[in-house]
Amino acid sequence: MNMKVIREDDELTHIKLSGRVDLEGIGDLDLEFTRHTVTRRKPTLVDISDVDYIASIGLRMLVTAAKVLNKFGARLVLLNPHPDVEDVLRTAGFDKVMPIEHDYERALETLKTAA
Amino acid sequence: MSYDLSIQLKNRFSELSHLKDALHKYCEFRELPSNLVFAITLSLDEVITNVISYGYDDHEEHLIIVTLRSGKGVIEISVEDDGKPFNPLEFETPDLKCPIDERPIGGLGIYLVKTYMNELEYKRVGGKNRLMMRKIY
Repeated sequence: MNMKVIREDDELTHIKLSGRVDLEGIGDLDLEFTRHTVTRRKPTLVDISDVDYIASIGLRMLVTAAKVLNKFGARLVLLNPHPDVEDVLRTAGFDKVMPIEHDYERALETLKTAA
Repeated sequence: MSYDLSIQLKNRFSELSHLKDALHKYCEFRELPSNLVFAITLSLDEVITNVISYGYDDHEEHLIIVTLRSGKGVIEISVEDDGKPFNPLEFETPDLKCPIDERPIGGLGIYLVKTYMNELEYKRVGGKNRLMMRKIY
C-alpha cells in the first residue's frame, strides 16, 4: 500500500491510497494514516481508485478513522473504489458509515454535510 | 475433479504473500474471472490470518495446508491447520446496521468469508481444523 497526501489545510484532508490494503500492504502505514486523518480532525476524503485489493484489516483501518472523525463532527468519504473493492465495502455495510462517491465534486459536497 | 493446487504455509504472516502469488498464478492459468479471484483471495486471506492470529498458544512452527481444486463452475478450497478448535460457522454475524459509534471493530473477516463463499463445511478431524469452502461461479 502507498499513501500520498494530496491536500491538508483548515478545510479538509485529501489523501490517496494505492495498492493492496491488506496486512502486509498496510505494515506500519496505519500509523501514518491515523496521523493524517484522525489526528487532524478535518473532513477527510480518501481516494481509493488505485486500491486493487482490501481485506478486513484495511476495512478496520478505515472504519476506525471514520468513527473517531465522526465524534468530532467530520466525515470520511471514500472516492472512486474499484468495483471489487466497492463490493467488499458494501458487503461490510461500510457505505452506510463512510459514504462512497465516484465524482470528486460530489465527494466534496458530501464532506460538507454533518457526520 | 482433480486436486489442482496444494500449498503448505508456515504460521507466519509473511507467508500470506507466497499464498497470494501462488493463487494468482493458478487463477491466471485457469483463466478465472477477476471478481472470482478477488473472492478466493479475500476468503483465504481472512481464514489464514485468523488461524495465524488466534490458532496457536505456543511459539512453535506449524503448517497450514491449503488445497484448491476447480471443476466446471465450482472452486473448492480446503484449509487444514493443527491450531485450537475453531468453527467459523458458529461465529456470530456482526451487526452491520448499528450506528457508527456503536459498531464493533472486529468480526468482519469471517463474515466476509461467509458472504463471498457459497458453502462452508467445518470438521475437527484428528486434532486438526478442516474448513472446506465452495464457490460457485
